[in-house]
Amino acid sequence: MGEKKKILIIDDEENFTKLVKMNLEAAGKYEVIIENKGMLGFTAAKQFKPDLILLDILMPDMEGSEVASQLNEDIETKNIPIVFLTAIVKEKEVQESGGVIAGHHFVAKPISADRLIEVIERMLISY
Amino acid sequence: MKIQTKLFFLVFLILAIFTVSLILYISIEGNRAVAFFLDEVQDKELIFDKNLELKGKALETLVYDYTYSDDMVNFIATENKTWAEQTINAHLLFKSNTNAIWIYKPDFSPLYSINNLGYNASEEKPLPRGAFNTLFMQKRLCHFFIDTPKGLMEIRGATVHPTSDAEGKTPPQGYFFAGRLWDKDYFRQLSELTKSVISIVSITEELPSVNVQPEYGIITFSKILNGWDNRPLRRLKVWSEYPNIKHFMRISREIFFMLCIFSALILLLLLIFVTRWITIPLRLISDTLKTQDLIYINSMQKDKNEYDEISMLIHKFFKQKAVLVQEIAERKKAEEELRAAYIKLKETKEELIQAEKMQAVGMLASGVAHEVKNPLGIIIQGANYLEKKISPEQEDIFKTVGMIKESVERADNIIHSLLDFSRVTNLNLQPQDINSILENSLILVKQNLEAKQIEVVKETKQDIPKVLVDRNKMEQVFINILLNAIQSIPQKGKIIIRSYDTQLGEVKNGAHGIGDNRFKSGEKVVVVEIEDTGIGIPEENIGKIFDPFFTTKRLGEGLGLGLSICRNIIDMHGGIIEVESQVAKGSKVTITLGIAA
Repeated sequence: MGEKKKILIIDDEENFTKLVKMNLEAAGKYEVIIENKGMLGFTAAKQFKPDLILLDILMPDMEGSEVASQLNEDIETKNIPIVFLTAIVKEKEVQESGGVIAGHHFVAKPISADRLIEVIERMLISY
Repeated sequence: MKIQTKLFFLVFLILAIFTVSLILYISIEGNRAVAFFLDEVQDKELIFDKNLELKGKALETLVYDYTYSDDMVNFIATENKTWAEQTINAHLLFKSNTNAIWIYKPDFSPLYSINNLGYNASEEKPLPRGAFNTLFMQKRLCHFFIDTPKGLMEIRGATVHPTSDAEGKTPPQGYFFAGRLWDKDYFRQLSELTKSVISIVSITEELPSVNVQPEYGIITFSKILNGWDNRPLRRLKVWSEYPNIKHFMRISREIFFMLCIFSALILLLLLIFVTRWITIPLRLISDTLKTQDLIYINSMQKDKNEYDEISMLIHKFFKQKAVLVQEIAERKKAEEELRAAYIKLKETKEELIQAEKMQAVGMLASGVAHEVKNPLGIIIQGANYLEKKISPEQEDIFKTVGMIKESVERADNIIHSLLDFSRVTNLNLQPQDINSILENSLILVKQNLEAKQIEVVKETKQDIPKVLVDRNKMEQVFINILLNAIQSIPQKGKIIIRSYDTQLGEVKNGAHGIGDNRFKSGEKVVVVEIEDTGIGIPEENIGKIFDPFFTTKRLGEGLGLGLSICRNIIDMHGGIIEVESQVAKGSKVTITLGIAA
């Protein structure tokens, strides 16, 4: 068993992040770091250098897209794959488009733990 | 009656009156001519009689002279013929223009006779013996005619008396007769005198006493010539011609004939001019009004008469009519436009209401989606976590978690429906085989069909033209309709699916006539029909089934967006969706789509 992959989850829904962390860690392959403030998302990424970021789009303090552009501008974080979490796009649509909309990867809420792991795994392999 | 006919009658009547007057005039003139003619006849007769009398006068004088003669008395008494031969000889005959003389004794026996006719006159006696008494019973002189071998002879005779008995009261001393033959010469003289053609005809020939033929200017009359016994012996026929009368009558006839021709010419002229002045213009006016073509009366404008004015009035009338027609047309057009604008306004209003509803649903949906989906995310993640923590023997908890997961899914589906409905999604249009989309949709509802033992009858047309559609959206539509159909069938029913292409016979509108004319008449389309044997839709609900949030399902079974979404999708495809239904018999959804070019 190799080194656990570091996943940073940036989402203002504390309960959601906690449960995702519990489910992912239960799978035994991931180390999950939670950041519930959008504004602190970039800092957290710089600090923990995750292998993948799960980024909520709609957050009260800063939008996911803004966080993504911050990450994209920084040399250290720009290569970290981002999977957007959205409550707007339908899961089916995300699936149909191969999880990529306008060059970004998406998962739609609500998403089951198994499905989320599946997406994460695919992303980690391709990057 | 037509004016033309009336005019013809009038002209005819005038001519008839004229002709009758003419005939009357000619007749009166003719009568006058005849009257004049008759006067002429009387004169003619009178003159003729006078001539005859004058002609016979010489003979009468001779008879008179020789019967009051003592010499004659003496001669008869003595029968000494010397005196007779010296006195009553050929010289006397010649001098007195007489042809024969007979002298009889008182006992009626012939005594002496002489003639210049070349035969023995003694054999030719003018009278039989018995005639003397009759002849001289009342008068001394007699006048009659006899037939001789040389012709008709006029005889005059008298009783012989001495000069002392001037009145002839004494008994006759003898009888003296002188005769004159009416030979050709006599007739010629008489004809010349009376200017007539005279001839002797048999007494048996029927002749009127007077015959007038004014048209030929001829007068014919006859005189009866009696024998000694006072019985008609011969008839004298007098034929006179009056060239003046004849000329007058001919002129009269000619005038009549000319006047007839003149009348006919007048009639002809009247007909020509009535036609030219009245009939032709009337016909032209009539033609103009019938055909509404002013070309007929254009020529009439040049005439300086009443028709010029009528023509102008007709022109004016047509101009006014054209203006009126145009005004009416404009008004109609304006009305049409107004009506169209009103319909458009109504449609726009309905569309606006619809759009507003959609907008409201959209806003609600996107707001709700985010707010609801997050907790749903938490619930599903929680459920997933719990699943892993439950030991296999804790079956109840396992089932409960399963129910939580299912509910999350259902809630998610509802939110998706709302999002679907509100979002204007770009269509991924591709030419598609509608039958394959139907097949796919059927596979997706297979479980639901089997659960209710519903038979699917497919009457789809093979090699149907392709339609330009978004496959997923169309699938969504068919699934929605199929699910509705399945829901409407309580148990063991039938769903008939048809597809075919056709050419539209008429213009077709959007649902319930709302919206623009989607399809033109004659446009080729593909039609899909999904018919079920379900409970049907009551009439009052048919109009509402496409409204968002309209549902007949129980609370919790559906949001009432299905058909509304279907309609949105079909609208986006430029198609038409229609629903027909009969309660307790079933419903039929018909979708019409344009063929991919």
